[in-house]
Amino acid sequence: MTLTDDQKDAVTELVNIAFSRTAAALSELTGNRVELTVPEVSAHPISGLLPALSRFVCGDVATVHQIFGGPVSGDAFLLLDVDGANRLVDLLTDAGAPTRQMGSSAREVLAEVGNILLNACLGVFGDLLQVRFTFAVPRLHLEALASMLDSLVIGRDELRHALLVGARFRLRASEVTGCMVLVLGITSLKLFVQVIEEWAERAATES
Amino acid sequence: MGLTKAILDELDQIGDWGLLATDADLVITHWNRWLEQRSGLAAADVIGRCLLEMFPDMITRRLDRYYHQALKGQTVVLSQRFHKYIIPLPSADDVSGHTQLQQTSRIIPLMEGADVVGSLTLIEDVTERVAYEAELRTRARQQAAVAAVARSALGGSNIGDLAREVVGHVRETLDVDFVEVLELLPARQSWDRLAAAGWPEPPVHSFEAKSASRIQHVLAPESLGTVVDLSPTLLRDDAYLRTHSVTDGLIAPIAVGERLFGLLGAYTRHRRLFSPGEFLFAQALADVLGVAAQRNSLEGELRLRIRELAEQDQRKDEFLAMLAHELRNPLAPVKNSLQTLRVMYAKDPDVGRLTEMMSRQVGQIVRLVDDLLDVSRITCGKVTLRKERIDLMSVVDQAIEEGRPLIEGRSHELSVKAPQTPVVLDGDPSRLAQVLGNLINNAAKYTEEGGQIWLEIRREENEAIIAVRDNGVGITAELLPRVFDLFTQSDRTLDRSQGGLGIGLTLVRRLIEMHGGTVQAFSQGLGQGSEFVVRLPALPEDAKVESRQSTSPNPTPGPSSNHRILIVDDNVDAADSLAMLLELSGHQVQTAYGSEAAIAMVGSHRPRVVLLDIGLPGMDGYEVARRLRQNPDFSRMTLVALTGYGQEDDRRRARDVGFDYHLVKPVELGELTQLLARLGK
Repeated sequence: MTLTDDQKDAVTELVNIAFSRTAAALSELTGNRVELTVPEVSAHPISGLLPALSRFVCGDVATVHQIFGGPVSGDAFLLLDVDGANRLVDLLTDAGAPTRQMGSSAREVLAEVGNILLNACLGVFGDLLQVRFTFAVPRLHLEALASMLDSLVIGRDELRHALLVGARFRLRASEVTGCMVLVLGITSLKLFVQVIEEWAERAATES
Repeated sequence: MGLTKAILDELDQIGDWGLLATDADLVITHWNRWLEQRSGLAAADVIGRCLLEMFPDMITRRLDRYYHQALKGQTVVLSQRFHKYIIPLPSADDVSGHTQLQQTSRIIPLMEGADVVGSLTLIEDVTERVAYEAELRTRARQQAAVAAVARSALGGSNIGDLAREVVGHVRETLDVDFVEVLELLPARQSWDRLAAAGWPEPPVHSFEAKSASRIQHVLAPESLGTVVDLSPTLLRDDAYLRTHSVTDGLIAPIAVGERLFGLLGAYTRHRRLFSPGEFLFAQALADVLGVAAQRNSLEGELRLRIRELAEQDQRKDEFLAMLAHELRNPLAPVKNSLQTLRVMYAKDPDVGRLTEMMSRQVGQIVRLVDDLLDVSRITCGKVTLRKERIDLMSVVDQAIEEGRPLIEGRSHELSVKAPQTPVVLDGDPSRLAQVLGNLINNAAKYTEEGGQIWLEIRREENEAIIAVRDNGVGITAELLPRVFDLFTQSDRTLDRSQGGLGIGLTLVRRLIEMHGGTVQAFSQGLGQGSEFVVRLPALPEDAKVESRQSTSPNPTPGPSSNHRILIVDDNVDAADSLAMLLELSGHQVQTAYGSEAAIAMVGSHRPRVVLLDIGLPGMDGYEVARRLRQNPDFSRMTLVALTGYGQEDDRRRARDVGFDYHLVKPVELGELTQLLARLGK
């Protein structure tokens, strides 16, 4: 299933709202100006997700994984490659020179950053869908990208699709690129896209 | 998820964490034992109270918004790095530096169906982990600083630059207010500040030792190698530190071996406990400074030694040159006298035998002196080769001819093996003959009488190989590597009368190297004979030796050529002995022992030939020649320079001032006779 250009624009606008809230929260937490931009949005079947993700991350990845439930259920991920994750943590916490290994404190920071971002996105989508999502506790994983993708299909019967949103963190003259992934069953994805279109039409009419 | 007491008790059992539950209005409904122990607040005093009223700083710190998020159904992660703690609990740890318990938390919405009915906060104590991580980061920074300073030291940074780098690292890594590196000056009376950071005034140099108690402290021998935490007593007694309100610090003595070089000091304006790791860090930097100071000192000594050795070497070369030159002077009259005796007593066999023996010994001395001069000139780069295209066999033949008297005198058998086709190369024929003559001479000298000498010449691709082998005394394994070194000789020679100064092989190697070749010595040991192999670059097989136009005048003497000769030499014996010899040959000879006398005698006697020593005192031979040539009356007069130096520069200089010929002392009678014979009246 692919998104039309209008659908992409609509999703981008919604995610931008969520990212703005995320950036504001991180700026307040860190005392540094944080910007978060959306380079692109696309939809992919799970089987075709790896090449799309490889444009944003490679090698071993740090993944903040948050399961959400409700009328629309699925898995939300923030993905960064490990070097990028280390750099982001060091930038956000003023740690000085980047460290090669991600210690426990750094993992917590990343989990919180992922939590803030994923909550913001799901919050915006929940408002749009007028549903309340339930959220599991976010978990942080460090693993190869292929292993992470395998875990998305194992034990699942329904054909799953992913909404891929690139994410670019900018602070203190540095930039770290990752991506957010929402993995939904085909039914949930269709409902999601339908609601997006309705919102976009309303927004166009009101403007 | 409804949270029953059973579930909460289960959570309590399975983890070491604080469990705080609230209802949807943030009224505390559960406060576990973990929280009781750390807060000192009993559950009974807390349950039923509003969370934000119990802990109002949550609002100040804007943590309340996270609870409102949770009450909307979102799970919230609160990391220690961003928030430090969620509930203010005192830290029980005295060493972490944190007064509050450092916490990481999760706030989870409690659901019943689709409704949020409350929140559960799960709190972990990460104080120890945070302190450990901070310690790791500090150690990483310290290690990086020590590595950077060590790299600079290994790269040869001078002690001043290194000290400046150290104070920068110390100030940043230890987070102190002032840093200094002091160097103890000679006599241990005063100190120089090599580098400093943080002091408000410009660095002060030359502290007096007695005025600073911190300095007095490191002067004590027992303090060497020990980093010291500044005691209140020491601080109180140190006026300089007191004026800068220093209340704490550490000093690390910098040692060079067993000697105190200086100190590294780090000071703060606030009370501060330095950790063992920080002491080690300061000590490591002080050690690097000590090693660098030692290295600088050793390098300085080494440079001085090298300079001294170079000067000694130069003086030695100059001495050798002077010695050889001076030794030549007495040899000239001795040689002349011997030749005179041979002529005068040509019919007396006993006199003939004696003069022959003395001539041989004088010849030996002349050779030794020539070798000495040669090695000195080559070392000073004053020898230039007169290269020409030569057939190697012509050089070998000349060398064999020169060595034949010794070979036959010791009844050796000489075998020569040479290729059918000429081996042509670019070389100085006289110098190569000197080299081969030296090798053949050595083979003859160091082989028992009746021995064997093999001489082989061959071509290997583009190299000419000359191998001289004997079955003589051989060379020990100990001596073999040094056999070409100057003045090196075996302790055991067959016949000490052969003597030698240990110069010959040094000359051989240097002359061969000047030709772009190599020479090697081989021997199986004492009594096993020796072999010397010379390799020289050879020209291609089809190269031809150019036929030389004889540059020397017709060697056969001309018509009877007795001349009027003036000999000018301040060495009276040399002048008189040569005069006697020439008179025996039929010439009319006058002598002058100085330059003024020489000029006067030329004017009064009008000699046909003037044999003029260059090294006259006062006005030297060059000047005399120049003045004589200025007079057109003397244009047909032949001027012959007699000099101890035979280099091209010397010959050219002689030609420039008007000399016609240049002879090297002691003059060979045959050479002089031939020259005189060539001259017309």
